Amino acid sequence: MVNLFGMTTPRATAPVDLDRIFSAIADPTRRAILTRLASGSATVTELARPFPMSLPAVSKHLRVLERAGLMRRQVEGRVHHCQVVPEALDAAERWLVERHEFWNARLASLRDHVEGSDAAAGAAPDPDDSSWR
Amino acid sequence: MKPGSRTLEVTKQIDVEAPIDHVWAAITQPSELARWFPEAIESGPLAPGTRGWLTWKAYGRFAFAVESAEAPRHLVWRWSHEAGREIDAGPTTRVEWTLETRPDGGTRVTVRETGFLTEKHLGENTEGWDHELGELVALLGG
Repeated sequence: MVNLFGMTTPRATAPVDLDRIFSAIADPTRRAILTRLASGSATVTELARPFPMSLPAVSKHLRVLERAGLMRRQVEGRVHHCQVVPEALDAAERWLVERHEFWNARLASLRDHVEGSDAAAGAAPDPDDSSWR
Repeated sequence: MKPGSRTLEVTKQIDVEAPIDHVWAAITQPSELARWFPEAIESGPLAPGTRGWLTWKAYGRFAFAVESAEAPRHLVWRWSHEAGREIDAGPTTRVEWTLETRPDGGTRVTVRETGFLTEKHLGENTEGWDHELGELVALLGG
């Protein structure tokens, strides 16, 4: 898969769904969960503790993170150990960087275009400019 | 959008030595756009409600739809960032152009791209997007 900014998704790994990643990290609770997971894996109960919400509500957030590929869990009996998947965020960050580069390049092209064609559109052609065909 | 809230966005600014009407034509007339933006464009002149496609050989064909156009200062379109996908078939980002005449007669061009989210999320207070993303990446050792 190639998107507008030339970012290829390696076939060998799970496809990166940027819509889902950005949607997932749009939520402050989910960002807090990721931040907590950055310091090491945690169980669902541990993750839920700091939040003033029910366990099912936290579980819902965890499912969103999982679907975005940002988190995975290992099940041992009744205990779910959650772990962050940093590679998914790398993809999101890379995409943003490419977006910056894309607009830098396009605006430079716009400037070249309007400044160049402005001169060309002048009423009196510049006699010194023999490079113009 | 709530005042003071920040969304994930990319803002770029450039000053060009061309009058504002000329720059306006460059960003709204298909024949002009094809000279500097996509390699090919399927669209009428960009006006509110205009829909079309922008094509880059290397990347594909991308749907866009104009939301507003107030000559010669303000243009907003939405576009899909997945090749071939219809504009209504998935998330889009919003590209906002602002043109201002400079004291020297040139034009200041600002392009701001926001979104990267579905409509549902645009109403949320998604503060500190790039910042948060950068922090998370740093934190996770990316």
